Amino acid sequence: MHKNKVFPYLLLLPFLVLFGLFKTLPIIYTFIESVVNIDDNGIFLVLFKNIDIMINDNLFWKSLTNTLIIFLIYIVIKFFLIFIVSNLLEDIKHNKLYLLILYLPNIIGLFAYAIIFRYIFTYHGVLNNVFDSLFGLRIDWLGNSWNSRVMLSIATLWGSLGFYTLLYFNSLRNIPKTYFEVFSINGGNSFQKLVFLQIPLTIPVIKTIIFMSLIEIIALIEIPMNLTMGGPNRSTITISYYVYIQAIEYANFSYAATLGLMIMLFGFLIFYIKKPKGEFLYEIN
Amino acid sequence: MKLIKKLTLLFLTIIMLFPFVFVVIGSTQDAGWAFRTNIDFKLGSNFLENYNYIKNHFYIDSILINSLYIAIITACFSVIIVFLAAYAFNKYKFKFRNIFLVVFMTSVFIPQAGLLVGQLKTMVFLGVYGTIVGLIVPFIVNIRVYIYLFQVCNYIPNDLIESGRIDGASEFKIMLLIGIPCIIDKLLFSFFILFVGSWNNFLIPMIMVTKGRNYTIPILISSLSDPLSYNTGSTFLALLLSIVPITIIFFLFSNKVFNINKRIV
Repeated sequence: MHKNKVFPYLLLLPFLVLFGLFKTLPIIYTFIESVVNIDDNGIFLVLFKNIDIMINDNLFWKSLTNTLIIFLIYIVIKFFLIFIVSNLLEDIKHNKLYLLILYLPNIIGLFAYAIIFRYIFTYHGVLNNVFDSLFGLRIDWLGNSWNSRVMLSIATLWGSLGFYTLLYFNSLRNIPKTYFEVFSINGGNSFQKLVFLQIPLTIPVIKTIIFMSLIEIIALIEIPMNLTMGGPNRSTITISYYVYIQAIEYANFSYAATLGLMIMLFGFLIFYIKKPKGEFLYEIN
Repeated sequence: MKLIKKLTLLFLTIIMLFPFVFVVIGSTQDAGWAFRTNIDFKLGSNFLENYNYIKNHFYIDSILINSLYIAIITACFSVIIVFLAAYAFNKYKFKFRNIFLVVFMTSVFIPQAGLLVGQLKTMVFLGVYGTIVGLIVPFIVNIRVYIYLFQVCNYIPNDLIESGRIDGASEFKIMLLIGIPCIIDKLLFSFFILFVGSWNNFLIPMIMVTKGRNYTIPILISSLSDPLSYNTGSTFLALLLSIVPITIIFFLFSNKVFNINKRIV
């Protein structure tokens, strides 16, 4: 590594200026907005009032539990599919092509596939029409709270499955094949192979996937907004979407900023627990 | 057993591809197609009609030009600025280096909603709220791409840079003639990532843009799919417009996206 007085600063200058303006200044603004209220009468401290509102706000707690529930559903379905798909892809000839197709939805905007999913899964939507003409039954995919939470997870998963499968598949390939061979020679079936061999050996990547999914679900805003609009009985309002509702729909900036600070705290907490290295790079959206 | 495996995979890929097929078919059908009870999955003949519907209600030409323009400008500036920073961080030693690295890394973990209020306030403060500039400048600094490029800079051999110094080239010339050619394909890939990111940028433009001439494609889709004015045919056409360009670029870059590890035996 080379020491130089001027040149690195010159290279950094535009980046740092823009980072300061559009990444740091918003944090400061959010903080100011949530702590004090400045108007013609003077400056008032509103932080404690906002925190008080937040603690007594049922919808806030509901949005937190929603986020947690959606995260759990998401994680379960996701790992189920990842284990299946990455093991299937293991010894198939055109695995690159399959991965390419799985990866394709990842480049489409979240809002776009939320809208596509809405047309497919609403009560009068395509899937129900097909079911109706084939079997004569209609399923209320988005109509009750649990269904809509599951659908929200599935919609999110549709976009990200390819990316996570690629991540997991690559780490699976780093396990020497002889381990698996020894295991099956000694009479282990494929389920035992998964539980006692594959999962313990890929723990680091599984942890990474869990943390990334957590961030992904906390940041989820476009899918609930376009797919369920908060959903039946407010059961798909995630924490990020709740900030949007407070800020934009109710024009409640001060309170929304406090909620934003909460989300930032979650982010810092996850950062502190995870201490990331470099796995976040290939994610596109 | 192998057949079952293949069939499962095939089934999964069909599910993954179904929404695409759905959009393609829907864009050629009429306005109420998706909600009809006896639905038929065939290509219809209403493509031009749907296009005319969009044309009569929105400034479709300026929307397309806007989207392309914004995405390309953002991606160009972003690649240059982020690369410069990543190169500086990877190849030089200077004060506060480690602090900056931690700060950048932390900001990946802050979801966008946490900053929403602050971002809007900042844009009002800087006077870019609701303008085209406001759709470009705030999205130039992309930390994910920065982390990617930081790691990519490891591919530039330090010996080459050192030999350039010994031969008397200036630091700038070294970067331009030695640094960039080593990783030009990775730079193109990050251009693609940034292009897609800007092309799909939804939330802030959705809040900010009110003038019909400044719309981008995501806003067009969002206003077409409004439950009060369901016109499925033209909504699917707009979705198609947003999906097709990035899909084409994706397949062009697919060799860069995919690093499948070699099997360890």
